[in-house]
Amino acid sequence: MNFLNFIIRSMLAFMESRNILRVKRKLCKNACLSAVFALLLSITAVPALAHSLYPLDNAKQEAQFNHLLKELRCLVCQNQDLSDSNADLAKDLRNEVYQLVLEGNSDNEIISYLTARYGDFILFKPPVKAATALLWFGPGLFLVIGLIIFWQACFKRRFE
Amino acid sequence: MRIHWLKLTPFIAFGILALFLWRGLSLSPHELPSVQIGKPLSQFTLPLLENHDEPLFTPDLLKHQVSLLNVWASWCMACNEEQAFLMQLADDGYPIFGLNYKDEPKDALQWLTEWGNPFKAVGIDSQGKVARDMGVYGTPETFLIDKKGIIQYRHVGPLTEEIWKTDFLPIINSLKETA
Repeated sequence: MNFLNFIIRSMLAFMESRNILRVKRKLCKNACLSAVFALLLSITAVPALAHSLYPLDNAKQEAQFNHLLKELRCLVCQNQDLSDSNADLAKDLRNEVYQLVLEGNSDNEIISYLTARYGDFILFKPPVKAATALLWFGPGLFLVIGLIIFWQACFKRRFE
Repeated sequence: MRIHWLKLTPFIAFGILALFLWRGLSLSPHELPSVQIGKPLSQFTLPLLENHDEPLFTPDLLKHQVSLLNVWASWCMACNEEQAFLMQLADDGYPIFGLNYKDEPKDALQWLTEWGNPFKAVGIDSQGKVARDMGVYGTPETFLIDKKGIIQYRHVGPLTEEIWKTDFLPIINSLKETA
């Protein structure tokens, strides 16, 4: 995508220097269309790529594999999931998940396998347990407290 | 002047939040605590990098002493940073074992000749499987293992004197007392 941006920008700069405004507008329109096309292509290409590198027996396993890769965090590039990251560790963990899926393990079994080694941080969605209760219910709690304060404030105004 | 308790709620909430966020400032998500603290080392059998009395690298080598297991590689730049300190620890008598992670044995041997060898024994983990079973996600990592082969602590990143004093020594000292 960056290469495409560079090409577009340099062509626009060239046009500007020659002051050919009409061509510039048409180029912009073409650039936008091609960018959208490239984006759509990249979105549809990702599942196809996963299929070719990690051949699986049936569609159910493929869906499980793709789903898991999206749920698991790359611990090196921590804002990427295992399907996106190019880190070495991500590659190794993709292989491990692939092997586990091939062997027929369930989602829970694969997740327990990984969290036993890496902890809950490898999951993008933290599990709901005592330690994360405040994280999950905190916003709701704040809302309730806010409503109580609001209610009390209302009462005060009415009876004063 | 009586203050209604509910009026203090925003301040209390702010105080609690500020406490959590202040604590969070000094935590780094790249240095994760090990979830295997308190669990024994996984059973593994690996080839040894250099000749040793034992034929293979297993957790048994680390038993009956409080030791360090250092995960390193010749291609890992950060491992060079901690090398001087590891040599110093080895000189002080601390047993250090190495796990050569995703490396070529000849490169590893070359690296040890250049940088010095603080390890009592080094296991070759060429695929990184054993390291992944231990929850390793980036080299270098150092594990503190007690006499029974149980993981007591894990540090991610180069080991420095400061970290040794703050994190490792207190545990080592408490292990000496209980033994």
